[in-house]
Amino acid sequence: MALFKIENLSFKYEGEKDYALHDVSFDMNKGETLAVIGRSGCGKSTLLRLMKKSVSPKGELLGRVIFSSDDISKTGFVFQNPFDQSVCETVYDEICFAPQNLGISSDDIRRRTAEVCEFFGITDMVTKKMSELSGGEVQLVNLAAVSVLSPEVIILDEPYSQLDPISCDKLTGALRKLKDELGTSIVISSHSLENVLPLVDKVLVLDAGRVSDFGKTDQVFLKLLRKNDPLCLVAGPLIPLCKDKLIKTVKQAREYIQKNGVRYSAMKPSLTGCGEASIFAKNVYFRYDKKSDDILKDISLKIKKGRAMGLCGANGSGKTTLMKVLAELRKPYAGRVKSCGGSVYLPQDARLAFVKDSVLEDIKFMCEMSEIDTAEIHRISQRYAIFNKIDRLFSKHPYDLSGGELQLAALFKALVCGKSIIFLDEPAKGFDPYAKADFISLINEIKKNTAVVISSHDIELLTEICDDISMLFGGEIICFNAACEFVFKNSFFTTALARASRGICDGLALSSQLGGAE
Amino acid sequence: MALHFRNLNELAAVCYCFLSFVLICISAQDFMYLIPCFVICIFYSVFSECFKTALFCLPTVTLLILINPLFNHAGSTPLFYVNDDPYTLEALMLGIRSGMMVLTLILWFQISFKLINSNKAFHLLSKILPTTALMLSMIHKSTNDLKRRSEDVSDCRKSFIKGQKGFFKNIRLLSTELLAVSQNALESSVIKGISMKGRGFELKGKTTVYKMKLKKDDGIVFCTAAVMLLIHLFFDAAAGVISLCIWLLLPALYQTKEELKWHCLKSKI
Repeated sequence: MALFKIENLSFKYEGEKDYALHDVSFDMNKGETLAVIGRSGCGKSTLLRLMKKSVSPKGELLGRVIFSSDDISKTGFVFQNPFDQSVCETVYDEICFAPQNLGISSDDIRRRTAEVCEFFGITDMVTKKMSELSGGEVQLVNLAAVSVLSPEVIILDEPYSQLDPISCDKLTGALRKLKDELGTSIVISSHSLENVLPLVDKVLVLDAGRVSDFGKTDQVFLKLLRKNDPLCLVAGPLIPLCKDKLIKTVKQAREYIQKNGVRYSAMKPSLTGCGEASIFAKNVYFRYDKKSDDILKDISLKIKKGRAMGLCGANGSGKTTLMKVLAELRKPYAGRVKSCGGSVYLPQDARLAFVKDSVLEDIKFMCEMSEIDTAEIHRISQRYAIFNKIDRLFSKHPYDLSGGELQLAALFKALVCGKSIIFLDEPAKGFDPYAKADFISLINEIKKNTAVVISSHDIELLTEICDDISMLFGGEIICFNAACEFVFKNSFFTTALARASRGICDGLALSSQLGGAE
Repeated sequence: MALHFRNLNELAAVCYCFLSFVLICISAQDFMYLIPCFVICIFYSVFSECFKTALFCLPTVTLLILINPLFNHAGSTPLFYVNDDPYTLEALMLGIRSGMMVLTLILWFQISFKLINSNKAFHLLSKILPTTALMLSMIHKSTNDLKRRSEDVSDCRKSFIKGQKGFFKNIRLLSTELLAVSQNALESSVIKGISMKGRGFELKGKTTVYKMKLKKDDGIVFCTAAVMLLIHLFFDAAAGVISLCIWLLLPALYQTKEELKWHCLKSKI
């Protein structure tokens, strides 16, 4: 039975000339999971919001959205940014918010809340304040807050984009329970379906607001793979291994490699930039206040000009703090940090790096305040090939840019600033595969003249870009290795392909190595 | 201290704190009432870890006591003269009374916050004015978010624009920073608004999860209040002082009762 039926849907935002969606048609059955994929700005969020009447954007709508029930409680919607959508101060109030609005009796709300908390395993968080939770925990609470109404369908707009891998796993576990145990239908848009792929029944591919493909998961992704479309990487880094079968897990990948073997070019350690140190830290200790515990303990490292260093580690291991200390934004209480040529720090939410209403206005403001010649803007855009098209971003408001565009603009600003070290805190969160490819090539160019430090949970990304990777654990640097050494030494903090090929193909860690000489 | 008193119904707790506050204000006119109030407040502040506030306020109160006779020369018992103006005992006593009253009220505020935490006040308000209660809770939550965001914006600014800027440049930077933080907050409030709408905030006929069940102990608080007011109205000052002391000591008595009850129950395990 069809739960959703969308017929010839076209949509244009109020005040816009062009349609965001063109003639979109598809249907979805009860209990199914549908993934909506496509590059940033292709209309995924618009389509998802149009599927729930109360969150639909304003504009001109053509065509029809047919849903078996128009009741507000039958569709739940979870937004991209976990913190922006939460309303109440405590977890309990947040979960009770929707049933209270719907006029459900006090006893029923209590029963539902207790049930939903047990179901999602968040009972111990109930009395906590929302501000005390991590991004992943908040997203889990957001999911519980919409599930409390027992909706028939839950729509999730890029729920993974702001989360670390552990939080991603928890959220996937919750979604799996919703699908398997309650038969809830799920509509999800994401740039990384790696976690949720086994749950997905159908995939809808959007391209500039039009449906470019719609069908079963395996068929759609194999079609993308055969066309060599980078969008196929949404299904995970293992998919390029085989063009005939969709490889979803490390186990499947390992079996495939064992049986068929693969052609690849082995990974070699990077020898670039072994000159003078751009930043030097010795026996650094840091804590936020006198009574708290040490966040950083005995950190000593040296980052050389022309090299990129990756920082990985679990949430709360001190990655962001270490970057801020190295960028001289926080002062250690013991030890010393010395940098040559200054540094720029870009936060996780790159929007916060912009303070003006357009990108160009913001960069000019920075030039004026730092007494930098504005000719530098032109020089940087000419110097790096990837910035050739940056002119079109200049007039835009930073908040109107997609994740990839925003990071590009922030990096441009950092380069105009002319510092010798760039710190990037979780830069690739929510990137589509195209933006990720652009980002990788840009960092590879930037690091020829500048030292780059990147903190990320994405080991694939760090291995692709960085020359060295270090792992933080409990505020200490546990290891500092060349990237190729790091991925092959580690068992858990390594790439999916390195895990799959361990003991079979030496030196294989990235999908970009596939297809070369064996 | 007074941990068990927190288990009372929010209405009873709020009524207790408010009535006590009014009584302290009224009785502050007379030392006979003020001294027991002051002693009880000090007693509570020691046990509820509010004593630091008392110590913090002490210099201000001492200043108030000493300064009052310098401006108020009324009284018939001059202690000494400052620039030919008498520094009288009566004015000093008036200063002491004012100082004690200020300190008692400050301490009572602190104790009240311990007796009714923000959640209790929020529950009570959400029963009476649900939208206002939600708005206040959202304001409180947004304040924390704003603090976190402004730290990030400030870090970025420091990172992009380093060095000495001069007064006017700093003012410009600060105002731009403030604008950026508020812009970010507004942006997130749009998403919050959509999320609220999506969860039925605009619908009519809201309910609340919090029940206002009055228990026996809540009844005792209301009865004690009534008896105490009757004593104040119909009996002499000494009875009034005793009833006020019992009223103010109610949380301590309740705590003792609960401790004894627990001790008794524990012995049966």
